[in-house]
Amino acid sequence: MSASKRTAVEHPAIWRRIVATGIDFILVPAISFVLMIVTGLMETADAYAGYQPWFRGVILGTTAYLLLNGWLLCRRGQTIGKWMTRIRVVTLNGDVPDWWNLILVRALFFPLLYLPVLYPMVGIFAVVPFIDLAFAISAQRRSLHDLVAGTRVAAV
Amino acid sequence: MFRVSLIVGILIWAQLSLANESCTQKPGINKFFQTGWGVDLAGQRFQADTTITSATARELSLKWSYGFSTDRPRVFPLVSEDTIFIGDGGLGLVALDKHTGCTRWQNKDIPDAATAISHGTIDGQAVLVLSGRESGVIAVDAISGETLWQRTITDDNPVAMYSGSPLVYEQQVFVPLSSMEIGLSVIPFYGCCTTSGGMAALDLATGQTNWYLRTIPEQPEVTGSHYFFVQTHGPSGAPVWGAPTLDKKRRLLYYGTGQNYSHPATTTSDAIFAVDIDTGKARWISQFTEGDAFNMACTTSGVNCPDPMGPDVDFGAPPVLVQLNSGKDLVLAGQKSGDVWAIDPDTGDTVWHHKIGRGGALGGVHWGIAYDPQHERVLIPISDVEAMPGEGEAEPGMFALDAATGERSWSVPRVSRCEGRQCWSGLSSGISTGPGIVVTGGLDGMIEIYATDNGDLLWADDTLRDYETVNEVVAYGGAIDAHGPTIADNQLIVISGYGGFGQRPGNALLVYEVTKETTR
Repeated sequence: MSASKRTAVEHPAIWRRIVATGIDFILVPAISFVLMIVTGLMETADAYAGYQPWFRGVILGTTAYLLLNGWLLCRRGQTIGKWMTRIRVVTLNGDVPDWWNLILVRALFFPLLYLPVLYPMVGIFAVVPFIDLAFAISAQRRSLHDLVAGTRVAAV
Repeated sequence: MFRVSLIVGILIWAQLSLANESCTQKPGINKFFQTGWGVDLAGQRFQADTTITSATARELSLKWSYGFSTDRPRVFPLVSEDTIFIGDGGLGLVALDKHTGCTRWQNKDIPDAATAISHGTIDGQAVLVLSGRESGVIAVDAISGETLWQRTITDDNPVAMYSGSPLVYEQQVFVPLSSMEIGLSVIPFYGCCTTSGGMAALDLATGQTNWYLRTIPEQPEVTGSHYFFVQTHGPSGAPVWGAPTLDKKRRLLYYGTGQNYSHPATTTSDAIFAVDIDTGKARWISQFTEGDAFNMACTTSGVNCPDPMGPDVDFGAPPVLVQLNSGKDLVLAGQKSGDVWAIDPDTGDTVWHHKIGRGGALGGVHWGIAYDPQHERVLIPISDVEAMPGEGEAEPGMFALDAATGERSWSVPRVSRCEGRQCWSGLSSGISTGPGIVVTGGLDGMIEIYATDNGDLLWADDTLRDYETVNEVVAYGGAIDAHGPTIADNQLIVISGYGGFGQRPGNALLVYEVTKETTR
């Protein structure tokens, strides 16, 4: 059976996507935190000079994201959250997207989820993830990051 | 009727034109009424060049006010013959017309101005030097407001904090250095602490470092760990967050240090340094409290709090160099513990010592003392805020000590005022003196002038209110803290509001005047 036939009509319920995102939203910082402790990357004065806190924060977050999701994303189009909620990312044909598309394009939207938490610093940009989500109200249930990456989310 | 309207219209137009013209004029730089924190290089905070005296102080009235863009202004003005230069929160450094308050220029390169302003000359060009809390030191052309150079001093400390006011003398800028580690220690997973306070001497023309002296000579080593992976370090701390004082005769720089951030405690914390301004070598270092290790983790019972925890009794108030009528020189220093020390400037030995109140982490003597050369008295504002208080009774108020002996000449306790304000009425901010007067600012928002001969209250004003401002920023008064009031010419300049350390925020720059007629 071809991938396109297999996934053509299966739109997962929106709550599954939200739960999946919530799981990732919590797990990535949690793993970042463990990495921070083990590596000591935020332990010294150097880490707080100039833009170093942001730079190192991005390194920790990216590493944690890839450790958690890298293998699953590349092989099955899933993050931990999506795996737990039995959904996955596919191309419009229903195939597993290219790894670079998932990691270098689609995953770039993931850190934007934290903008509301940073509202005092980012101001109006805190609404960006909600705008992203609003696109998913369409019939195709494709959020903005899906449109940019040429993907959609399907039930497993 | 038409004629009257015409005349009134012309007068209004002329007034507006004059006001605009004064704002477009370049600042006058022929005369500066002070330099840096201490008014003079000796840090006495005594303004001789003023018409505000014990005879005229009662005639002071508010001339104009200006609204800062921050509710925790931590700045101190520099006044020339026609301009007030002052840092303004996120706006940068501004030059205000002394008589109208309108803005002559604005320099946005220093968004976190946090110090007094010192001045010098580069090839005949008047230069203003000040520091931003994190953005570092900046030198600005006094006339145009253009930045000449700006730099951070991070060779020894990657998280240096520029809390203390720089001082310009000859062709050097002396820059006190504190550290962000005092606050970073709150983070449980931070390996507290590795940085040392310091003093840097920069070339005024270029900003390049001539010399740099750590307050802790030893390099930090690992002292243990917590949470399995997080290594702790020491020694650290001994920051310099007060301005230096300069002794031209001995070519020495005097400055105080704070506590250690972590153990082992050193012999250079809570100390007064005397350093050769040409070589950067310490002539003497006198420590007045041993074993004081403290950081902000202690305020949250954090894991980085040193054990044992010290009392946090820095020398934040800059030392004051005085010459008595007997010809003897003294360095006078007030400590957060409430101790006042008179020190021999040649040896660092204690000449006399006087303890006032109970002291604590926010004073005791918090920001600064001043000197009255006419009566040879050292004026001591006491805060005694309930913050890690020392032993004994609190004595918030104003004290005058005989500079030669340390004996108390007079004292005035502050009255608690609770209506619509925080009740604690201690004096935390720096103070200023003039002919026969001492000007104080209270944490309760009151500005007061006392006679230095007997402590009589001559004048007071309650700044805890809203103000209409010349820059149309909504301004309101709050606690008077940090650098405190200053006197120059016929003006008293007050910064009301300081939303740090739980004090009442505010953003009012208030300029009071005695009229020229009054002073004749």
